[in-house]
Amino acid sequence: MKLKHVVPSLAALFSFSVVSLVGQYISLLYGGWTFPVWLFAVIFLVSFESVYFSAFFLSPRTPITVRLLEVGSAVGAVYVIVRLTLSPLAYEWFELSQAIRDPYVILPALLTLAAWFMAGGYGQQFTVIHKLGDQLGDASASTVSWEYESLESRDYGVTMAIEYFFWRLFGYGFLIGVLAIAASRSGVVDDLSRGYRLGLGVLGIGGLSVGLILQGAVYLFRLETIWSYTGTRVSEGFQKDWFKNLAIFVIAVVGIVSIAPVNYSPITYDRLSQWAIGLFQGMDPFTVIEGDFQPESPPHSNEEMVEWGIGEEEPSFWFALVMFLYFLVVVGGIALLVLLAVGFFLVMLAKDELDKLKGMPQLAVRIYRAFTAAVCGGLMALRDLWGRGKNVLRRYTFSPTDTLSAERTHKAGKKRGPSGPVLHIRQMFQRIVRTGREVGIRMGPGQTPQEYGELLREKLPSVNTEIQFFIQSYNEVRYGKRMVEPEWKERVMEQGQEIVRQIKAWGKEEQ
Amino acid sequence: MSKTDVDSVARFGGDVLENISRVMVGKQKEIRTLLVALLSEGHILLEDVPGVGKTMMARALAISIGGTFSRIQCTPDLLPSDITGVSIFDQKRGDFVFRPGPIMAQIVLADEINRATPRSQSSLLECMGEGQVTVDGKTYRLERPFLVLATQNPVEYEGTFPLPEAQLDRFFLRLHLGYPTLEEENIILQRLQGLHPIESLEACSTPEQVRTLQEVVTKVFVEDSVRDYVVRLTQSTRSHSHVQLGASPRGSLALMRAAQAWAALEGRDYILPDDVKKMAPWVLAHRIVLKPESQLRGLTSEDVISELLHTVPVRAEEDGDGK
Repeated sequence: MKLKHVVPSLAALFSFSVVSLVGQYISLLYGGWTFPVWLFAVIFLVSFESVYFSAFFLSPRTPITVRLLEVGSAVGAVYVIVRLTLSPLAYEWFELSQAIRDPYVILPALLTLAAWFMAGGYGQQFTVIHKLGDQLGDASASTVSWEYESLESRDYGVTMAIEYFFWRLFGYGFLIGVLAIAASRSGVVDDLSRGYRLGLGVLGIGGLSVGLILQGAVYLFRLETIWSYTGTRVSEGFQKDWFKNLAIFVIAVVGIVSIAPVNYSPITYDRLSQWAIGLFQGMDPFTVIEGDFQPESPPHSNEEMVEWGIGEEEPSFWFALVMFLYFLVVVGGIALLVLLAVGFFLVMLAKDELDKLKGMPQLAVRIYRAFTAAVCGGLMALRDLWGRGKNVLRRYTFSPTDTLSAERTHKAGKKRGPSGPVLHIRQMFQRIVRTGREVGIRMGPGQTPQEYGELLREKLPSVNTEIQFFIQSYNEVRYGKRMVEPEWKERVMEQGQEIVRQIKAWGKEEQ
Repeated sequence: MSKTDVDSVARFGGDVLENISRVMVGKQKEIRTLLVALLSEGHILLEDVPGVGKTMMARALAISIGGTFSRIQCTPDLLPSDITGVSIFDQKRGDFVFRPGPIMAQIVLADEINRATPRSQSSLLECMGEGQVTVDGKTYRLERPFLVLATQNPVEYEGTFPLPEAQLDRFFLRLHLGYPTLEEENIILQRLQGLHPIESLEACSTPEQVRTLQEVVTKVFVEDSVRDYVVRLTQSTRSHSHVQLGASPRGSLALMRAAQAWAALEGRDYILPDDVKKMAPWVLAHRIVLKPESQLRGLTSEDVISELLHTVPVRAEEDGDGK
């Protein structure tokens, strides 16, 4: 998998998720405009176009007219679609002064523009990463730590690309959080159909996951770019390991975000969301924060506001204790999350140096390892359970012979023995030895398969070639761990069966 | 490790074998065993009567790999400094100058090692074990590949200092060349009628290539059951009724290395129990000491190894061994 081609897709998907969600919530909170379905497709296409263009075609020499043409065609297309879908409008095609005051034109156009800017910004950062790698490669950088020193000591006129991604992930996440809670608290979400709400949830969680994956992938992309320019050799499985660990991390974050409450900071999402509601519905934000806000449409009651700390009554001791414990759990969860993230990066970057870490980094690594071990253990247990379930199912559906064979295979698997084609070839060798023993061609304890093969060749000259081929194949599988291709395995098994037949025939002749 | 790497070992083996065969008639198996020791970075003890081609084989090997060759004729008055080298005072420079001894070569033939005193033997064996020489507090690294072929006469023991068991264990393998057959001796006479073929022998490899191949050999795959077989075989020498002192763990390590080198010379990137069996008599026989009564009965350590190779189970497949 070439990260160079994958990261722009992730950036495009993330831009699409964020802009679509923002559009959705504006539509819900504002009320004067409905998010049209076709706008999803436009934002999607614009995001992909912009990020790929910026990542692969944009250069300092690209004329500004090309960029203007690009964005103009996107916004122009939106205008045309709006006119065609909402026709007839009260104004003519070229009365643009009227058009820019029409929310049905300006909001889709702004969202398209936002998607174009956002995705294009990511695309440009990918070229910055390449530039960094190129410059470091020229400077013969050989280690990651050296890279930072090099960047600090020399002014390349570029910012650290990772910070760009991090702050945008954080900022967009915060924006979506505020808008989502505003929509929830104002009650507009309650009026939506279950499908719509599910769609919003999927888009939100999807956006968060893609954003996190993008963050991790960009970091790896940056490292791989630098390594490729500096000629550093990295193990082949590194990328796979990275994404495996990233997936665990993303699942953990998504899980915690999905269950985490929102009121654990003095600047709560609730307060900000009330301010957002006020902004969209023309209320005075400061009045809202004071607690006097009563939205007109759609109506909702103040009882739904889970705002503690502004209550009328003094909280009881037990309530305060529960809240304190609750606060501790939440803070602990967030701290754990941060440590997991730090641990993830440390494990990926400082594989051989982990023992030298002390203090907080060491703790982060331990927590991360414990977490991944727990997840892996859980997965193994599930797989084991699944395997047992399948065996039980087989026992009731298969014939007794099949069950016996399955049990034998399972037993071999338990001992971490061979499986599949390798096992078949080894079983065939055992069958040859058993058949040989029955007719008097015994394999001595100190005899190797090769020596036994020579004994068989003496006794059965008619299958000389077959014996030689089978024993050589068996040796390759047994001692050389050769990969078994299906056609080759079939041929080996056929030769083995022929040898067994000839041994039996020889036995009958001897009798 | 790729198949190409192993193929390069096999190609090297073929080339050197062909080259040495120009001066040595027959003895193909012995030359291959010599290559096993070279590729495993071990040293060889040649037990044979004089005049069977020991020096010729060592010289031919040195020329074939493009390495340097030297010979140490061991006598009772040989001093350690005669082997390692000595610092002499240079009057012109007014300083001591190190004059390297014969050990500073890549292929060293220590002829009749058992005629040297234990002190000189020890200094030689130290160089073999550590791959370096220390003279006057200064350490000189011996250039790789470094192979010592020590010979000893198995019939004459008068005025000799037989190598103790601990020293014997330092030799990777023990080899017997033996007398040539009638046909072989005839060919030898024909070939040596004119100019000795060694004078026209040319290198077919380089020391750098040998160093690379030595690293390739260590990467030859050893399957668990084969490793287990090596260990069981070595351990069985310790409990055998005729054996007073069995082979050491160094012996099992040497056996595994030798099997790896043999497999690589055969063009295989994994070892078979057959490789272990082929190498066991060369690698283990000199590492075991028989009980005096067994020796009196005429039993040799080769007989014991041969018996063990028949009785120690290979365990290819549990079912296959008839258990």
